[in-house]
Amino acid sequence: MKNYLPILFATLVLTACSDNDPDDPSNDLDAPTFSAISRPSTQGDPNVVKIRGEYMEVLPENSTELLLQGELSDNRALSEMRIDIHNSQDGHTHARIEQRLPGFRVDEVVQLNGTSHTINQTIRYDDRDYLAGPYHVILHAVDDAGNSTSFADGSSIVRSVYLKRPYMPLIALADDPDETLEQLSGTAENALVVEGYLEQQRDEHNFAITFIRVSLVRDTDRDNDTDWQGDTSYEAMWGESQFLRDNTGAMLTGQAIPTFTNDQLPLATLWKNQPYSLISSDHERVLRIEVEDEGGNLAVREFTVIVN
Amino acid sequence: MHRYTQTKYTNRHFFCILIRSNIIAYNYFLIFFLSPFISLAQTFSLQGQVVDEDLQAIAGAQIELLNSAQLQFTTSEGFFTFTVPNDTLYTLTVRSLGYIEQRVTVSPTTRNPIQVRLLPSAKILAEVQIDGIATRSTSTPSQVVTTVTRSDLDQSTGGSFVDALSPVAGINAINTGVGIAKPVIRGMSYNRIMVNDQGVKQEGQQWGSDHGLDIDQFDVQQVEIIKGPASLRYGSDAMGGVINILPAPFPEAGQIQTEVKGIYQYNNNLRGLSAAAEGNQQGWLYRLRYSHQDFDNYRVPADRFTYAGFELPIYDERLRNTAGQERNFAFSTGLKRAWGQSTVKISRFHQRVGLFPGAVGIPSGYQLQRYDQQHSIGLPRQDNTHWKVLWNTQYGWDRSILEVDVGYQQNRRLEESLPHTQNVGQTVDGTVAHDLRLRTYSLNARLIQEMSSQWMVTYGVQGQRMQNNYGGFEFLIPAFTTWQGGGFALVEYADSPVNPRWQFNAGLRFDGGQHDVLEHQQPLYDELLQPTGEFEQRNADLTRQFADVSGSVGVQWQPSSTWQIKLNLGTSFRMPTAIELASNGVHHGTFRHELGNPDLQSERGYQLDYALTYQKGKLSSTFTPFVAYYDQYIYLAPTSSFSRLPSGSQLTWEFRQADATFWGGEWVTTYQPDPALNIQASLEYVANYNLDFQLPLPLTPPFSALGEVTYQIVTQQGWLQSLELHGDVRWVADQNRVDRNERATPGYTLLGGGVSSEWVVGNTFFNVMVQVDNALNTQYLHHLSRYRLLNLPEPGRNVVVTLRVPLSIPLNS
Repeated sequence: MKNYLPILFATLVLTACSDNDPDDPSNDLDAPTFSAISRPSTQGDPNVVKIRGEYMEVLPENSTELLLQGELSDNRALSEMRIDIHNSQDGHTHARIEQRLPGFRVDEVVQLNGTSHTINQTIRYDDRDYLAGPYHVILHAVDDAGNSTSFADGSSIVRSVYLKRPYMPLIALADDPDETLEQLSGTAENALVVEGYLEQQRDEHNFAITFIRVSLVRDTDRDNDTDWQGDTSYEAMWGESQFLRDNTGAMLTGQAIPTFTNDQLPLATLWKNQPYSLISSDHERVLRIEVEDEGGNLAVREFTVIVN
Repeated sequence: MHRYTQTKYTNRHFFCILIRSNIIAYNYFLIFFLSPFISLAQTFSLQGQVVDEDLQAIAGAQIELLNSAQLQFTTSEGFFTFTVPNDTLYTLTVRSLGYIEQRVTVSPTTRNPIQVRLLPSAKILAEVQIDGIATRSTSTPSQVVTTVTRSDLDQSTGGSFVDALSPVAGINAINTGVGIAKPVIRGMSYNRIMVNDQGVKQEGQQWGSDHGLDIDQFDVQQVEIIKGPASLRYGSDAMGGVINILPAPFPEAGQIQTEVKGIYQYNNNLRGLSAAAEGNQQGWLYRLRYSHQDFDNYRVPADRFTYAGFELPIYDERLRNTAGQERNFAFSTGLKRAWGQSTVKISRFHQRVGLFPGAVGIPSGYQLQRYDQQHSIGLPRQDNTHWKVLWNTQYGWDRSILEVDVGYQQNRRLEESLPHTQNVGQTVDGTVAHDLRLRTYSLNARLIQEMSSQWMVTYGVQGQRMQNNYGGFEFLIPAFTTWQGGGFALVEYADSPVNPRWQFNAGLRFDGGQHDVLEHQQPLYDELLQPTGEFEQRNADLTRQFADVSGSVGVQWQPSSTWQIKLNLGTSFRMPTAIELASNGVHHGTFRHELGNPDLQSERGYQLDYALTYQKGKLSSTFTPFVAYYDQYIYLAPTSSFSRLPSGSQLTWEFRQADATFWGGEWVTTYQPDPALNIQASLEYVANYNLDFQLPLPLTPPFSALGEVTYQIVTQQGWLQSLELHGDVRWVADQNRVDRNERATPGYTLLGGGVSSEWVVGNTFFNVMVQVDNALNTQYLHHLSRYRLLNLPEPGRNVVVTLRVPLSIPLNS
């Protein structure tokens, strides 16, 4: 009989602990949700940045404002939405430089209540000259219980807008007067040829071009139809970047930038000494040309390469 | 081989020497449930016999007499004899291959000869039996204690000391990649788990989940894990449990012992080497160890991961910038005399580990592009250095032992990254985001007195001063000075000095402390990122004092040789740390703005621990459930507001207090149908509940089960002495009990296995071990991993090869 006493002890302790119901409806664990606007008020307006729209929106060169449009909802009660817009010349590393032009920056917390909110927010950037180039538009939301959207599950919004300005470097390709060219073609085993030129545009600002990078990357994962970044098959650099650093923290540098004539540099001269020979797996990769000037402005053009 | 005269050499002798530096012991406290001797005049013969559980003699067992620098091996009939002065207590450590080490303290009131019974310890059996039946050392009898030996640690392939402990039921690790890990005991971590290195509490910014434990895994000989509260003996921070790293024993006199250990891991191309030498000349000890490790980016069974709505690449299935290195050394010297012993140890731990680029911001494809230099440790990274000076003294007289531990530690933690804040201009700090410098002075003293053969009393005092400073372009925690001190008295009773049926312990402790936190002013920058000359106050000057009382009572009852029961009831408190009171900054390690609360009060816990052990014949089983209630438990909770700091768009999390409960337990069962075959199954479960918010607490380990089979072949033929084959399967359940903003993690099953072998070539012994982890290359997420936040899978298949060569060089004398 004595031998059963320990078992009795154990049973007593175990039964003293009973689980609480984790599915109690009072435990609101659902974060707010961003979604596309159901009825956009400004269909076709190039200044409109749609939540859950294209990742990159190119804003017109003369634009003075952008309009964020989308819907935000929560199952119980919204608390805040944060709009965070900052320049992203450096990818995501957010390196510092000594800037001559300020980066356009929005860091706004919108107080909310209720279960839904229509985002229809005009953001103006015409008060002064800002750094031109890519910007991140990040939206987070939190409800009144503290449930927050996050990057991990993709519930926060990360978008990119491209701010064009007349004082930024110009990447001009042949047969592309409206900058609408999306494809380049070449032949496997032959040198990649890109016709056109880079130009230091002169405005009230006058910035020399200080860094050029040309890379061939896989940008879209065709199998999964999702955004895919990286996978660089070719990369060449000239000059020194003010934003981009390598793995060790050193600024990216390349060979000397060839001399500009009348503020222009034909693209062909970049590859004159080291032509890149296309391979068949480059088909549908993206040729990315990035040009940075001493003011920190960054021009980026991307073209899908068709390998014949 | 050695100078002790014995009847004959057996293989057991060789093994004892072989495992000398593997299995060790140290005696902090008295053990009085075993036997005794009769005191004679000035000197007398301390005699005894070592037997196994069937009372059969064990030949060649090693007997070390703590306070007289004497070492012997038992005769073929298991006998030993020491001639010693009769004016003090003696503690014997008894070791033999295949058995659990026993520590026995004998006093002049007990009978001679003594009989020491060793229980079998196929490696993994050790845990069960030490939990249940065997001795105690730095814990009280009613506590649940698990001992992990050097040979257990050698089986580990995790790359850090904490990973090596995590196979123990109830122990988990919060990881940041490979090499950075912090311990979790029954779901508690951070400042609720105390790690003592030779009696001195390790202090190294343990509040951060991406901050690992700065301990050289090769320089640990034996570890004792106290599951559950141990505040009584150790103070306020031992609320959740204690990991005691016990000092290595004094080396055998008359020879120099050396050890060289090499390790290679396929998964991250880890190359490790640890070399040690030690000796003992007429009671003077010297010991030196140097260890280093280099490892490359680790492999994961995935070529992409999803984050922020993007598919991001993992080229060559190797996680970018997760390489690292360690360089550690330790030097000890000391003296052992009839009165006791005193040792000084100086050690330095240095670790430099890269962090996956997304660990401090949104990862971009550019940062993740193909990079052939898999060994390169780029930015972001951690660079941690921990210096330690420990002075341990034991002094014995009459029926008393006085132990004094003095420690000085200097922890420097550099977190380097490219600046990821927008509104910050050029600073002198370059890429140093945080430079945390913590200096800690410790002093502990304990007096253990045997009042009679049944009663023992321990008195202790403890004091610590910590000073924290910081640098770097970011701010998270302020400069502070913390004083802490306490004293306790503990009484222990056993109804009989030999195989007691009843043991009882009770104690009371008082602790006090003061934090002096200094104000921090953070510079502000304009839109061109130039300093404006203006500052923003992050935290104000703050002085807080805390004082409170802890206590516990416990009982151990052994109704028969088959059953044993332990019950421990305790109340403990923990004063808030300076970090919990005054931090205010964006913690990129966790993607949140962490805000201290200067009004926090101490938290108090009421804890009930229970252990039930059954052991008969080939079967043994230990069940250790626990339940606890915490009043004003301090935790980090999300607010409903975003940070107003200029440095990012993170949500603000602030330290709050809520009532909480914890419950769960471990169940370990071992079946040994044959002396060579050992089958073990362990289950562990912990759950908790925030009573104010009716939610689980974050970072709670999921329910898991571990099955292990070991088969040992002792050949003793030719060069090969023994071979051990083992296989294991770990099953981990889904963790759906998650806190707000914490994501559920699906379960997984992992298979592993390996071969350990012992060889003798001439007079040289060595061990070779080959181990495979995650044999099926399973892709899984670890709920407690920092990289879980980025949806990054854990390391894939790993093959580990370890070689260990111990050598004894006899000295001419």
